[in-house]
Amino acid sequence: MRAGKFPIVLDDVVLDFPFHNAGKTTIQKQFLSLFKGNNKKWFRALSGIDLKIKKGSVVGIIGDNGAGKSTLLRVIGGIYKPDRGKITVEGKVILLASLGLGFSNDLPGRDNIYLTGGLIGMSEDEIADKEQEIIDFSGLKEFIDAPLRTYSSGMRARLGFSIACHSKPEILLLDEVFSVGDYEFRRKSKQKILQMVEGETTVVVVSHNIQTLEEICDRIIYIENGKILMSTSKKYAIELYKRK
Amino acid sequence: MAQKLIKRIVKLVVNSPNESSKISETFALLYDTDPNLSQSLIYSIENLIYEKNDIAAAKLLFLHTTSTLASKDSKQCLDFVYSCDPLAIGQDSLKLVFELHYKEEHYLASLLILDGVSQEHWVNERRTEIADLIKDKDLSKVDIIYQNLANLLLLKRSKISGQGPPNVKKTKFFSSLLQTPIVAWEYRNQLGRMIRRDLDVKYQKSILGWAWGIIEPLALTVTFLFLFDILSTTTSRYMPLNIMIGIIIWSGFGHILLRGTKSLESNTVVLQRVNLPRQIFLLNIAGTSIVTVSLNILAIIPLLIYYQITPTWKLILFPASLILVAAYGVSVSLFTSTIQTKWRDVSHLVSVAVRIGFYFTPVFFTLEMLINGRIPPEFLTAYLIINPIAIYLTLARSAFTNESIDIGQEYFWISLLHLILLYTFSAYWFSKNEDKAVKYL
Repeated sequence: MRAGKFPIVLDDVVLDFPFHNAGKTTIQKQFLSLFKGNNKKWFRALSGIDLKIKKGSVVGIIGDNGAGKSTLLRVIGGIYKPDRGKITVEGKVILLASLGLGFSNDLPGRDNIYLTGGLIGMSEDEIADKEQEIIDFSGLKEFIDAPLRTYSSGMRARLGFSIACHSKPEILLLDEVFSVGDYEFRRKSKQKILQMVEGETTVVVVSHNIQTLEEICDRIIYIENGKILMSTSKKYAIELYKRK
Repeated sequence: MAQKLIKRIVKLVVNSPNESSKISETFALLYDTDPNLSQSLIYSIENLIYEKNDIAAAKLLFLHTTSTLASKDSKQCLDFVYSCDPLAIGQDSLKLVFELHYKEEHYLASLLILDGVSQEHWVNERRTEIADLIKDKDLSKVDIIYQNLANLLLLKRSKISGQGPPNVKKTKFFSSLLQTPIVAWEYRNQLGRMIRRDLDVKYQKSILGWAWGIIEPLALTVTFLFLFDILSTTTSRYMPLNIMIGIIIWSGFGHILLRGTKSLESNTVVLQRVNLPRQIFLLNIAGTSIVTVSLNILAIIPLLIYYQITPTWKLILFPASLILVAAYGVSVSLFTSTIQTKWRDVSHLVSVAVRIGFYFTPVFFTLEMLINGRIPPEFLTAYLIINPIAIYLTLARSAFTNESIDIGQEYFWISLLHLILLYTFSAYWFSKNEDKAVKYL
């Protein structure tokens, strides 16, 4: 491992979101707001994030609901472009959130492996090669040929995680993936993550499950109101988070 | 190299903590080989604290790192201090950090650090000095900073972050035009898979399956023939054929417009998880439509046999016009799909437009009937310029019927120009606004 290599670097990143009030805006209100002047239309989801993540490390992100954890992950994943500041991410990134990657509900799990694999940039041959491995790891057995809408959320997460891991990402972003899985799945995926980290994959995990974070992470980032409150060793951060 | 040096430093710090000069020397060396040394050392320091329980060594390592960085790269030094384990922070290193903050005019941070350092004589002097300095600065920030400090001894950074200049996206005109075709080519395998999925899913759980694709145009054709029989005295020879082709292509076009407008909205889940070119869903819809229309058009074979039409080279006009129609649909959808994320009215508007368009475009009648109708010629010209689909449809029909229409060839080129201008606008609009549109999902 080469020292001082940072595949993820965020420099003073700011992200603004439009205020959603779906269904409540009427033409009348829109019209009136033209005269009332610029009432607040944007809120700051991330305000000035500085972050450097070292290659081959496992970084956990903690914070309250709505603190900006998932948003931060999506910015790293390239889904949102920062409004201010700079971000550099080197390598193939895969973002996995609790409800899978973008599955088609009416197709069986097996077809979804191909569909999702393709979406995250695997070639057909690559998927065919890994297919059995993915199915074995997900532990879905005969359910792999059942349509996805019949799956439980845990089963989806397992399939998603399995596909994501076998696509050889250089950066793996996990958003609350473990919260829906059972004990056995958590154990297996923890092992898998540690195994991947040895192969120089960088992992960023968002979770409320402190225990899991404590077991796998090297460092913890504590986020509050879109700001990094601290980025420090896991013991200290977790202690603080619990105390809060 | 850097790894070796770090090991050597840690060894030096643990075994012979008094050889200060040797340690600093190695640090200077290390900084030259690895300018990002702080991150690597954070791990070593944590290792010393939690694995080896040697806090004294950790503090020493911390102090030397800080002093090296303070002279070389002050920003990194502060970064290092605030991301390292607080257990490693000692009195001496705090003084160093204080001097650095003070030098950088971070008065508040300096003040707070002074609170953390024990009461020495220089502390009190400095405190009054700083207090004077920040007197007329914004004190509301003090609250924020103290809040952040409630749990920490130190403040992360005194600078108010997030004040960088806004990123302005530079949309290159020509590359924005090429974007969509490039995506279509690069993702051709994936698109093929997505189209197959759509077709599989479409008729899943239905007994008649594929037949439904033909039943609808067939039923509509019969209806319109019936209506023509009642309402009109003159019908052209190939009327059933013309209506059928019109309806099949128009339903494909409408499908692209309606679903294309919602292409970003209905794929929220994927768009928020996978970093994909956002046109891919629109291209998927267009591809599915093209395949569906090509399959449905097979339903006219019995009619061709009935009229004893033998296909000529003109058959090539059908795929050509189908692609033009699809391109038109994609061009419109590139524009509407981005606005749809903000204003959901757009999809309603489009669905009304598709319905009205059905009657205003020669779908269940022919362009010839329109030309020979009671429209003044200047309106006709305007109509043909505004509605290129009318021309493409007529082209598609002539592929089978071999009937030529007596409008000038220039109208075809005008319709092509219309398409190109529309695409240019939409493609540019899309690449300019897609990032913003995704935020509204």
